Amino acid sequence: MRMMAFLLLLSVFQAAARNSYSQNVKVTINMDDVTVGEVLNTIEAQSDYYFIFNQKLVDVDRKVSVHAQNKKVSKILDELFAGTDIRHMVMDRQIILSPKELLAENVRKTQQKYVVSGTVSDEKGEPLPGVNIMEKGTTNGTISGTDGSYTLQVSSQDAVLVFSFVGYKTQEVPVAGKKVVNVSLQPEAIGLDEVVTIGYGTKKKIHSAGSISTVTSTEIVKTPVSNMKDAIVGRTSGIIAVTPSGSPGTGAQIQIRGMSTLQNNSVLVLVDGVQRPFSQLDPNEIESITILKDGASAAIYGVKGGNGVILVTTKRGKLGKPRFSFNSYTGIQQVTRYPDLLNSYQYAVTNNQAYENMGLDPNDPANAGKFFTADQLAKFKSGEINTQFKDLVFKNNPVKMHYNLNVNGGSDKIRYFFSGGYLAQDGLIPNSSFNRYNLRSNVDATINKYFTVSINLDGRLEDKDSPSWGEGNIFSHMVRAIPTERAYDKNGKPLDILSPQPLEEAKNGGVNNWKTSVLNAQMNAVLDLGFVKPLEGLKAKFMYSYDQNVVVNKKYKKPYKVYVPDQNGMATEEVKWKGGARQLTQSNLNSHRYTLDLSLDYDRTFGKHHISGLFVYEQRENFNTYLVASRQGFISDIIQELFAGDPETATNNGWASEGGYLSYIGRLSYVYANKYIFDVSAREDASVLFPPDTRWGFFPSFAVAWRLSEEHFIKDNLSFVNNLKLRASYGMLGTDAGAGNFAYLEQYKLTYGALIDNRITTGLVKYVEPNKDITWEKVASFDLGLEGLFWNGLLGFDMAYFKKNTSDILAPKIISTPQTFGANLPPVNYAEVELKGFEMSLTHTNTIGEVRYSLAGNFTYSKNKVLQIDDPEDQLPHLVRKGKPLDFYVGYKTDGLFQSDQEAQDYYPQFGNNLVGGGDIKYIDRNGDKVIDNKDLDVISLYSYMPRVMFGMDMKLSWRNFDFSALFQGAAGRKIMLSGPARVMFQIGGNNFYTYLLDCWSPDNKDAKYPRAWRGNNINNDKDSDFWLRDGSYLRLKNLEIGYNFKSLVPNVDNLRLYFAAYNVFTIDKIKYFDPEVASGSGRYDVNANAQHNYTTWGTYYPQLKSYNIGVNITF
Amino acid sequence: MKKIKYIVLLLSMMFMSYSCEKVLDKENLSGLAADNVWQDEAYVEAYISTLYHNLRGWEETYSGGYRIMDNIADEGRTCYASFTPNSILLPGLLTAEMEGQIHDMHYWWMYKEIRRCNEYFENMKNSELTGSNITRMNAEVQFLRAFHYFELVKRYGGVPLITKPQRLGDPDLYPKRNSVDECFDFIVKEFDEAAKKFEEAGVISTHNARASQGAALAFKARALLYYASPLFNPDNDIQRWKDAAAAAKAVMDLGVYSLDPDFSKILRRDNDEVIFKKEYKIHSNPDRWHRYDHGRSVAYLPLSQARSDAGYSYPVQEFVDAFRMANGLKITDPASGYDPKHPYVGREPRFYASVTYNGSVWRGETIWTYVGSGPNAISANPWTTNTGYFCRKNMKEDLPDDYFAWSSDDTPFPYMRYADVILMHAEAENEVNGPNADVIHDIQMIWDRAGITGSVPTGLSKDEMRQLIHDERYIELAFEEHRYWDLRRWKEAHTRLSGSKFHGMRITLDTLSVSPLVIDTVYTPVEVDVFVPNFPEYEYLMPIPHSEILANPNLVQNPGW
Repeated sequence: MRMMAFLLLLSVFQAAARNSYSQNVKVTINMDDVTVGEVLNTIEAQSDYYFIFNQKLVDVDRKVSVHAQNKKVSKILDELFAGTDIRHMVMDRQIILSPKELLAENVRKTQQKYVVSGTVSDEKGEPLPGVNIMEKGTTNGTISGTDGSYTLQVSSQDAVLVFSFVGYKTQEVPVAGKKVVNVSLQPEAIGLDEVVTIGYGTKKKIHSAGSISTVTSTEIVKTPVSNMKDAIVGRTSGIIAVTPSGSPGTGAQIQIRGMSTLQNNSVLVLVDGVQRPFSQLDPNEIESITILKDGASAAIYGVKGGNGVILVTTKRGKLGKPRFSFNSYTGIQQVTRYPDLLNSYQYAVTNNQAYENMGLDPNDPANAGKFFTADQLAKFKSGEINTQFKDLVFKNNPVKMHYNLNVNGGSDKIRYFFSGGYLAQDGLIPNSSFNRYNLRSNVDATINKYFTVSINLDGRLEDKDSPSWGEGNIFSHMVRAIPTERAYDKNGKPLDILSPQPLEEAKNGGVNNWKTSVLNAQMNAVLDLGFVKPLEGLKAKFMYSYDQNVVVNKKYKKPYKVYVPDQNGMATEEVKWKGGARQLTQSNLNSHRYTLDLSLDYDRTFGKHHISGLFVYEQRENFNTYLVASRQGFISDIIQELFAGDPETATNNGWASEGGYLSYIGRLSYVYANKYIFDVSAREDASVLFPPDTRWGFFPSFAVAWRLSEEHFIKDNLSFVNNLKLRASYGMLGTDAGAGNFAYLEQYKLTYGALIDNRITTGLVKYVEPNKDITWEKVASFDLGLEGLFWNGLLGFDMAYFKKNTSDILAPKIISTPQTFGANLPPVNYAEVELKGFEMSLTHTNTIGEVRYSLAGNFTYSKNKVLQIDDPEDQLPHLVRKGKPLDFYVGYKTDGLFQSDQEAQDYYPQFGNNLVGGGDIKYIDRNGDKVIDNKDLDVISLYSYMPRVMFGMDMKLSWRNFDFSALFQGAAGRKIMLSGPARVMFQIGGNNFYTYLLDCWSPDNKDAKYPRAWRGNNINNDKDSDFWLRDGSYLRLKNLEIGYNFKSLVPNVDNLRLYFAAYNVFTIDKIKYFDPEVASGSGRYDVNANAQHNYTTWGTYYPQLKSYNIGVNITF
Repeated sequence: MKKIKYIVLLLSMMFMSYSCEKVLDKENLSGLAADNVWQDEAYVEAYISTLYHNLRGWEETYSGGYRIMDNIADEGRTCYASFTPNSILLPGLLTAEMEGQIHDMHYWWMYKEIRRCNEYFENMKNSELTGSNITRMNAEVQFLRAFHYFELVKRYGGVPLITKPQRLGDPDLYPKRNSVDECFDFIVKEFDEAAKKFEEAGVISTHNARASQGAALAFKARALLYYASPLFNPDNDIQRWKDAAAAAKAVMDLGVYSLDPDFSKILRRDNDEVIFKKEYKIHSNPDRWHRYDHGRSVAYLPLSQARSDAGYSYPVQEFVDAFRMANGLKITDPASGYDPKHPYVGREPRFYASVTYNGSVWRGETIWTYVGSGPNAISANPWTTNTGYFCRKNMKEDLPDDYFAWSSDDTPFPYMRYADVILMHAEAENEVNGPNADVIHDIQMIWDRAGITGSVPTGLSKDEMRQLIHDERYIELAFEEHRYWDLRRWKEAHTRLSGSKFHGMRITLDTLSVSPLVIDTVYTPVEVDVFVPNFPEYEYLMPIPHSEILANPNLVQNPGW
């Protein structure tokens, strides 16, 4: 059925097409017993003439026979119409057929076309290129050239020209018989005519009652990053983000206004109205990114919009001649910050000190293996043996580059935007890289006055490499490996040592490659129902999109070679292979998804009344399949394909899943005199994750706004006020993110069975205990805002207070259900979280002489609180979660370091440990029982690694051909817990660690910052406590750009700009050793924002990167 | 004309919604509906297979490879001594709130498995499946449920007896604890019923990882022995010992079990000694651990062969000293022929099968542990032996050559061996009738198989015989997770496992020499414990997880916690 409708649409497009053919004036026709019409068609087909005639006056059904060899068209026509009163007249490429008495009249009418030309300039008289010039009431138009000039053929000397350009007031100028029409456009009071993208449409910003911010294409392309999420951080209020990893291609974790549920805080992203990710789009493809922050704006997305919505709009073709644009940058990357690791001498000295602290006698021969000898120390001190694994592993200045070429243009019938991009990012360690190829084609066709069709095609390939050992392992091994071992001989051959060899693992241990190919195809068709008079303003819209994602993951792991060293530390012939067998694991994830929207859109103004409405029917389905296979036993590394492995070792597995959504969406909006704005919207959503009777959810929203600036008491008295709007909204949203997999059904799954008679049998277990009442999580969201623009842009502001209440949060009641129940618990709707906050943005734009500049600052504060959660009675105070934020730190409170063994012995026993001495952490006895144990645990900070406050400050300045911009971004109200090697020396039997810990307590260093040296996890000191808690606030210069435009030096080029851009330039913070955006001190590689802190023990994070780039923009 | 075209267009758009109801007709493509499961014998068999799979054998660890219980009693120590749970259990620092740190506590409170058994019975009530296979499966599930309840009672004392799957929102979601007596009665009754059903189904004994009539009877005997032991029988009700002796005798009378002649190969081949076990595969893929790979890790091997850490479990000196001489005399007996200068000469054969010591051979390599000898030398490095010994018992010597660090072998885990049944019988019989001929015959069977040439001494008092049986269990069942629990049920843990550090043997050579065999070797016992071991008396009953006490107000915590 769906296919059928598609074909119907296609046939309609074909009926409307008619175009020119060859340039031949002579034609050959041999036709018998055909109609005149067929002959005319044949002539049109063979020439590029076309006929204009009135069917009532010219009998085209008359049967004739024509035989003409290479004859002129006019001759053939003379013969064809011989004996009738029809004559023809050739005009350019048109041939008019008409009774001879009417011919002259027809020719006169056709000849009346009138040519107008002129120049468009701005308010200062500078030529203004790119201005759209239309003949009013037609689709006839053009665009002004680089010098502002234009030429347009209009229908008569009474025509009216409409000049429009973004940022300028649209002007209508009657031709009134003139041949030359010069126009000077006046700038629009900033932003008032701005159109914003909203759910399922667009709206004038002044008519919007929601809390919406927009990041424009010029800002997006300024940040040289490989992930679009990083490009919006700091540029607008309401975004809470951290970027915990510098792995190529990955980006920030983004939340809109903060966390408000237990399960899934992920933001809904739509690209051109379809739910799909945006982080890997080419920045040059993007026209704007709009963030819907308040509940009422997002409510139109019902079940998915609960955590906020990001709408991405891609660029489209504009009327006019083709404009090519080439953009490229190349840069080098460096680690923002990474703590130093001990050198061999420091390691050995500290080791000896640690063993002495542990009570071992260095002179006892039984302890011989533990202490480094004086000989060894001398070798370390001289640098003879000192392996600095960090220097080995980190590459110097890995390169990143990006190229994009795009073109846009169009006629009144067809407009196009084509773009191709390539990004290559080299990683910090060997075999770590990211390459991306983007291709986009956005075409809009005006089929006729009432019908337009757009096709968007977006294809891309993402190609990511990482070492098969895993990036996290490489960094963790780099920290672990011991500097007192010689890892390479003088010839650079890797040696067999006890420590892991992170460089060999990364370089020679095989590659894990992901190839993600994406094909998104989308068609929009709009039928203006205005052809029926009473339906004027009503449009029927059709949108169908089909997205396919294929992720092919190939992980080839192989052993790396090390040489057994001789006594002098030189490689011998003896070779060892480390890292286990060769193995290839290949998987394939196929995702298919379609979205269908059918909508009716109404928009009309009656005097002072502006009414708009929308109704959408939406259905979505998806289907995913996954297949994984592996083999071992490869005899060589040359062919890394499954067939080359040993079939005996072959394994495979796979799964499939499907989903469906159905929604009805409605919106009504009324604006009176651009002054009072009322919006109502509602959405009815169904999700298959819920049982049929609780499957449907209804999500209404209301918004009102009052533009005080339109009131006379302001207009008349405070003329500097361009815009002042007070707005309030309330919206109800939902989410099914925590619903699990068909948790309402009693279901079983196949799993592992026992090994019986050395044979693996199939097993079976039940999924969760079903919850037959499972339904939506509900989000009630309130927003109160004030926005304004004064003195034509000297001051702009937008501030909002928000409150969000998430109830019926889905989570299993694990804590209050006794384990004697025995089954896996299903998610139940019960928890409740409140989120409150405030956000503000300020803008200032001005021109002083030749200097134009703007300043934009934004600030967001948000705080969440758990209102209802699965807390049993009598819970220990620090574990109670009700009334606290979703994420907080639990640990011990401390009182510095013991300054002597005696002081430690006189104090309360700590954790039943009799080895506590001077230089160990002293804990506070919270409960007063004179014993330090886990009953003294307490909440030590209500902050988490996700900041409570985010701010950004964007500065732009231009002078003559120079331009400059800087983006500062920061966070506050944020804490980080040091863990793993960030607080433990010699972990796991002797791992290396960070040099700052060398400021450790000893009788000679009583002011030390850190506890005394110890081998391994000291049970007294290695505990989460305020001793290890750090303030994670920071301010960083995220982006800096300086450019110069050479356009005046090069002919035929509209724009030629060279620039220098730097990213993550410098940071001011209190952490000092690590990049402050790291999630915890040891660096959690991936972060699961959850109330339960769960660190990895080793330093496993991919450091954040800074980059310095030079780039070029050319438009011609 | 034109308008009609548009109307057709509009209508064609509307056709799209035609298929809308199908959009919500979606399934869990990897799920099986309950109706399909319980009417299909193959699925029921698979369900039971997972119940067997979830039993823990060697993998009772927190990172794969070593057993905690081997290393907190007087058998061995581990490289993870300073890590939880060892650092908490050994010095007696456990609290009820520490469930997150004691990685096993969530397993010890194993109602998940019990519920799976209960759901089996609930669902099979409505199933139309019948036949001897179903009888056998009923017996297996009943056996497994009793097995789990026994494991619970042995740790906590009386626990809530739940025999039906609860539903969320039911009032019985918060059960009270049943008494110790009720629990043992239930367990014994269940094993009895399971044994009958096995007999009906013709499953008397098995050589694979499945339960049988013999297994049910042997576990019944073990439950009764625990019930008769001082921990659960403070008034020493002799009837309980009688029941235990009779239950063990019933297994012996089945006539299907016998001792394997080679002590070192009991687990290495099919025999009539292993009554119930869990099977493993050799771990062969360093990149991916398989569920069936978590057998004995090569990290039990000497460092020169372990290919990484070597300290998962190394025997302590106290354990080594417990082995008799080959003539059956204890080393403390002046007549034994024990020479402290050559402590490893002339010991009973089980010593050589259980311990790798200085100068012994493993996989063709002579293992030297004396100070300065090389990688296997006694060391305070936590990643190798701190005692000078390595564990040998039940390790696979003929490992394939390409094993890698943290591999594991395919030795099955013995939940129940016939030797245990014989020792249970001897222990109970001695309590009832003193060291009579039956008792002596039992022990002599064990000694004969062990290769001890001497005869079990006659004329011992009941107490002396009790001590001899305890010592025999220490040696015979070492590293099979019995010792810790035996010390508890005898109420000997607080004396044996408290107060002083355990020892290793530091071996030094007098002079530089080419071979340590001809040079004078000096043996010095050294303390190996990091913490002073401590077994507080309240630990005889484990704490019920604190979260469970919070979640269920009807539960009463064990005293002292």
